[in-house]
Amino acid sequence: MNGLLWLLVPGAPLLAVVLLLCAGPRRCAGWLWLSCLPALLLSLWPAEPLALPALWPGAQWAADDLLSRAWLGFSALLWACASRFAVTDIASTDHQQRFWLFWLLALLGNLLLVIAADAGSFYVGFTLMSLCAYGLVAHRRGPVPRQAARLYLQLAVVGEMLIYAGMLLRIHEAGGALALEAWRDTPTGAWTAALLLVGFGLKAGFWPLHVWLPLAHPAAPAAASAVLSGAMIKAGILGLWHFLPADDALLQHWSAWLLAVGAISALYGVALGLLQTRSKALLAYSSISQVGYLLVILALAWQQPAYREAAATLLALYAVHHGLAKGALFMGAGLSTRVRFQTWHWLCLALPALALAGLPLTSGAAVKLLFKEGIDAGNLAGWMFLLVIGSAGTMLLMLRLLWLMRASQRQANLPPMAGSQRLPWLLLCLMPVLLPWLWSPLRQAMLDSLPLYAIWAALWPALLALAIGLLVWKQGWQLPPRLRQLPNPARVASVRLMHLLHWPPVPALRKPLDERLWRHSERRWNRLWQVGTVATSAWIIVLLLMLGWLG
Amino acid sequence: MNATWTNLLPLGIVLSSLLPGLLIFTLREEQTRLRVALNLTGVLLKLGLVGLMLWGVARGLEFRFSIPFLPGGELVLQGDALSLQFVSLSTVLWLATTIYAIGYLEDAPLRSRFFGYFSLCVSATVGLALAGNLVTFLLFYELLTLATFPLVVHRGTPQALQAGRVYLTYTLGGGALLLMGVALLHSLTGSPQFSAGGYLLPLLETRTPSLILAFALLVGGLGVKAALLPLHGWLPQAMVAPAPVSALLHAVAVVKAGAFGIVRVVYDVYGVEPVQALGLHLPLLALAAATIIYGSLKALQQRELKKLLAYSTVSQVSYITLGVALMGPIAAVGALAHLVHQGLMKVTLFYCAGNFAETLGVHRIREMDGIGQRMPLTMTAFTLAALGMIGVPPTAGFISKWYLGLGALETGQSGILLVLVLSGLLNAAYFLPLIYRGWFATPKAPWPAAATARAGRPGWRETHWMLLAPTLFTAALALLAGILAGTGFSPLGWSQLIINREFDL
Repeated sequence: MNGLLWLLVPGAPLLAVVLLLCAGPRRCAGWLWLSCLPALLLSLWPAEPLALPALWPGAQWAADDLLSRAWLGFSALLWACASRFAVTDIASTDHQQRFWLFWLLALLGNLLLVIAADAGSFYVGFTLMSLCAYGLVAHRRGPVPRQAARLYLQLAVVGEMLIYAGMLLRIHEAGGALALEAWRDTPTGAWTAALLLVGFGLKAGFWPLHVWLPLAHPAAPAAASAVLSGAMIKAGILGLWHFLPADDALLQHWSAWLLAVGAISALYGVALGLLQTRSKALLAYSSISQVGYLLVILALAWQQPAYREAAATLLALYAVHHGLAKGALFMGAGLSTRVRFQTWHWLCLALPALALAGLPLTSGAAVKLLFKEGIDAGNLAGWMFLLVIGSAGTMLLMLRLLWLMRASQRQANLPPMAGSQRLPWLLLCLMPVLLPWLWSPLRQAMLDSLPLYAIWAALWPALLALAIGLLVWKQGWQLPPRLRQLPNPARVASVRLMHLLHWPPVPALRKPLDERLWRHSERRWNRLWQVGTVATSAWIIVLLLMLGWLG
Repeated sequence: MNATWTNLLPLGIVLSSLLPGLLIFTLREEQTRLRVALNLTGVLLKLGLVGLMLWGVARGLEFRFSIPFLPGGELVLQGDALSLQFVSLSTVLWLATTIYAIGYLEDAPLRSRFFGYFSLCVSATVGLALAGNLVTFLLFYELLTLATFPLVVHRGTPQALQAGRVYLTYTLGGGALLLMGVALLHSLTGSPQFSAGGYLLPLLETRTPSLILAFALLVGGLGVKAALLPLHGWLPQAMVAPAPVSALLHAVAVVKAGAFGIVRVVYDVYGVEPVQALGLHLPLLALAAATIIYGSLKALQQRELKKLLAYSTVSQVSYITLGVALMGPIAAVGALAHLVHQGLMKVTLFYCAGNFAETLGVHRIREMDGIGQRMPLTMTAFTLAALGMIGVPPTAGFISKWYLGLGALETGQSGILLVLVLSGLLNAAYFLPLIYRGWFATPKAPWPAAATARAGRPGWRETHWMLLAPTLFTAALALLAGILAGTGFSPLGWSQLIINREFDL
């Protein structure tokens, strides 16, 4: 197919921006989801790669392997559903035009970075997405969203600069080549890898770079949290995958540490998530936990270069699975505080929750099976406990999520769900069950997870968690008050930084010169030279000429 | 010398603004239409002539005008690729700024004086860009000082006079240093024409101390206008000038004249190899890096919008010096592209500051709360330009930073990457709060009604159209220069052409 079709991917959101500015949000907000359509279609029927030397030498857009296509597809689907969902979500707030503007630009950035086949396009998309997401987090009024958005932006800018430095070092290492293809085989230096890991890690949000996530997600509107957690933070993982080489001694050396970071992140997210009292904060911690798994996949691929092919597939499946399920859950969490749920709403909501916990017949079971194979391939039998604890923990987390959502349903006078929100939300809710049947790579993995022993392996951690949950419920245990209000050093540091930048403690370098003294000395200086101006000038010139002659 | 059109074209470009300027001085205050007509004729004529020369230079034609002036140093005006980069920038921005100034000074007193000196200032800038040897360069450099002083003190307030005095002290001192440097070099070899690779290589062995001294004098003299670290004091004070003057001062005329002079001295007088052999680039590099960081730190402390922009200029112009001092082709491309990019972005920022001040009386940063709702188009332009300053893709500033960073790595100066990152962070620290205030904060008081403001509604009528149109024009150029950087006609493409000739690639 014609490569120029790729222009539609960023072109459609741009067109939507123009439409928005001309027609205003009230008239066209309901149609903005259409701007994801070209990306979705191109992920199903990809066009030829498109080279764009007019942008910069080496610019290229394509999505030809499974990873890019899957990534593009789920990003477009999630953004489309969230766009439709957001219309009602923010209908009662001010500044809708501003919200939609940032929304569309962030969408544009996200799609661009997925179809980028060169570092320049990736960085452009990544930055656009990162900075514009600020507008989504800061959309609501009040100090809490403001603080959350400030922390987000501070870390985003720092991450941006680290990636900039890392990217330039990487281009230098690759001898000026920009194509991500070429970078795959270029060895990396320690500084480059460290800069990129921290820079992209700040976006991906694995422990210990996660600090902005639990603040930003509850502050943003539900649709924004859905795309933030479902699509945007994964851009960090995609960046690491593309920017760092496949087979590299240094990364192989570091992979044990990265595995550890991923594992800590996976467990930390669960532990802290269980302590949350707001459903969206809990989901944010769940994202930290899931990003930990994605980091483990990356580390496995670096540790076992032979495993990279399979790791790419697993990464794609995991991203699709988590992105769609988490999107549905965030929307559900937003809905639970605003509309009355009926029984079948609860059933639909349970699907993505159970899929995250890895229950059979869902996409979760399929990715978990592949994950196990990955750990086997890496000869890391000792790490298998991570999966078991992880899925039991995730199950507990999901139970607590449903519990919190039920608690928020207790308020009286909730209106019924609007039709415009029901459809996109339901579509996302059903995805974890439908997708394994619709999409062949996932179907194969899901069928492989159907034998009885595999079902049992997937089921018993969940049953264990269910039992623990029941026990807690029966006993009526509550969180100790001390654990409810955990200190948040990141927020404090962010506010301090803002104060520091507002009132930098730099004293004036010197006092302004006393005007009269200055004039006085100027006059004296003039008087000194009044006599013999010509002679002095002549002397200076002679001196200079002498100097020139001597030198 | 044969008077063919290629010989007369450089002179024509200088005269196309000089003559209208001199005519404007003779006009009475109320002859507004004639003055505007003269201004616009000059601008359009110059634009046409520069376009003609661009076409010629791209095809390899030579443009050279010379008359005898000093023994060993003729008065030479020549159009090469490097001078055209600067000439095109000043011509395009002169067009925008003239329109802006007509709108800005509507009904203000002393307009004939203002526009007269304004035209002289541009003539001096263009002459300086076209200067073919050091003597001619010096001549126009001094003329520029004299032509800009009346613009800085135009308002006549005590503050403006004070700033003018400081400006004159600094620039005349710098001019004296430059004069000594030029005289020293002239005494050594005369003043031959600027040539790629320099003309001082034969003297390298025999006259080392003189060459080092001359370089120090030249950079000292040029550093005053380029606002290098200890010599930058005049720039933040000079921001009391009217907005169009500040815009032109910071984007093209004065500051850039210094930076452009440094480019000329390093590439076309000394040449890359002699500078490296003498080890002169390292102090220059350190100075530029220190200025970049210092300017950003000072900008962070400012409470007034124009002062913040002034310190930001101190920092950003040194990117050019930094790129030159890195002594590699990639960094040089970045430096020359930044010459244009910084001009486009900074002129936009000053236009916006002028629009805020003229329309709503907003001078201080804290008064900018919620201004995006009242003046969305101006604020959009401001946002684009500020993001460019930070170096956010796909704006023009990102392209400069990209090439400067790659150039630093190419020449093995990895530490400079740290300077660029730090500068980016500091730029973000003082520009992002402004953007936040403009779009996200709520205004403290309702905006003044249409009586005091120039026009009423947000949107196309948010301010006088003559103030709005140049702002949007330059903002669009700054964005396009970044997005279409890969094309041959972008500033980056042209810089590549210059550097290919300069480094013989």
